[in-house]
Amino acid sequence: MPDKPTSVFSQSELYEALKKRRDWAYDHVYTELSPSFRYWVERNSGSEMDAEDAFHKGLLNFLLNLETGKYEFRESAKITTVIFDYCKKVWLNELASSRIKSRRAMPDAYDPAHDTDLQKDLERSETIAQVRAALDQLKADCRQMIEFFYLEELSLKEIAEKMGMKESSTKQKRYDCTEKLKQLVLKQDSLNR
Amino acid sequence: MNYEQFERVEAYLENRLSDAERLSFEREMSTNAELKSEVKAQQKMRLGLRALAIEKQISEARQRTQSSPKTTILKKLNSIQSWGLAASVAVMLGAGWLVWENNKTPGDAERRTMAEKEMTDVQYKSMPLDSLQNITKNAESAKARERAEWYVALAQMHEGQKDKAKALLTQISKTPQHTYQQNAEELLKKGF
Repeated sequence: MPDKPTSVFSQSELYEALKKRRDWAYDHVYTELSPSFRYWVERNSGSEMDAEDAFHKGLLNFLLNLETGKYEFRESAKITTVIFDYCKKVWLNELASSRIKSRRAMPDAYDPAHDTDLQKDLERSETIAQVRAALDQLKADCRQMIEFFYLEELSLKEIAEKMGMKESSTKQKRYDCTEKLKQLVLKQDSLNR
Repeated sequence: MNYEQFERVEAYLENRLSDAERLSFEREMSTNAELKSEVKAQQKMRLGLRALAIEKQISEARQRTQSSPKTTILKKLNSIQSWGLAASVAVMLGAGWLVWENNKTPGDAERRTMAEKEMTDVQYKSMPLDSLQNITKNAESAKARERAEWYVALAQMHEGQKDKAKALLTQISKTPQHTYQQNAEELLKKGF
């Protein structure tokens, strides 16, 4: 499905489009959920900025689970409702940690400390931070190569054109840069232990 | 690990091996610790890169669908100041109050808001303080080190570590070539 469906789309179409990172699907989720989630956070002791943060984290958790197969499509579940729930959990977790400090009551019976899925999602964010930090330590040309290949998902031919290189050289360079990145990630990992 | 081995691990992680190849690879992995740790390392790196790619898409969707968020507390402060101004015009007494309001030293809450406003980079913003501090010491690129320094100061300011934040911002503001020299100077004036 290359473009946004002209008529109303089904949940499975939205699921597939999010999996393929289609702009229209991301835009739909943002337009549909961001204002209502902000409203909910602001009524639960948060600011607009808090809402933006929790929305970003919750959406990222959901999309990572979707892409890695940890979230499987269910016809009966509305995707935006599921995403809202992911984001809500993130904010309730933030609230719970601040409530523990201030000894105030939570607005909801939900207890993030016993939500193992959420805890796994949060642990995963540490890995993401390490990769991000490692990427920042790469030299500019390598960082560019990694971003083109893994983040923008360009082909080696497209990268060769953009970087003014031969296609055969980009293959080797991609390998060299990925190896460097991997070493830096391992270094970050050992520093954090 | 040479190129062929790297490609084989990559093919395994991308599910590009046939059933027979996969079985053989997994058998080898169960007895070869080096191969197993290589798979783990690549898996970890790929997860991080996947997350960064998704984050990029999310940020682009946000830009396409809405303007950047404004801080609620700041909006409240602006509105208080507007009311103060109106009162000062109506009653001379109000002018004195406004002077006091503008001259008083900002508190932790205001500094937190100011720090939040400066944190425009989602990637750096969500990075743990430890990782940021690692980058300030270990990054090869000066630009990455400076950016991390700036975000360490913002994080300290955000968390109410006033003295640490002030010391780091002063250090940045006194480094003429620092990318965030001017930003640090302005933040010191506004927030301390």
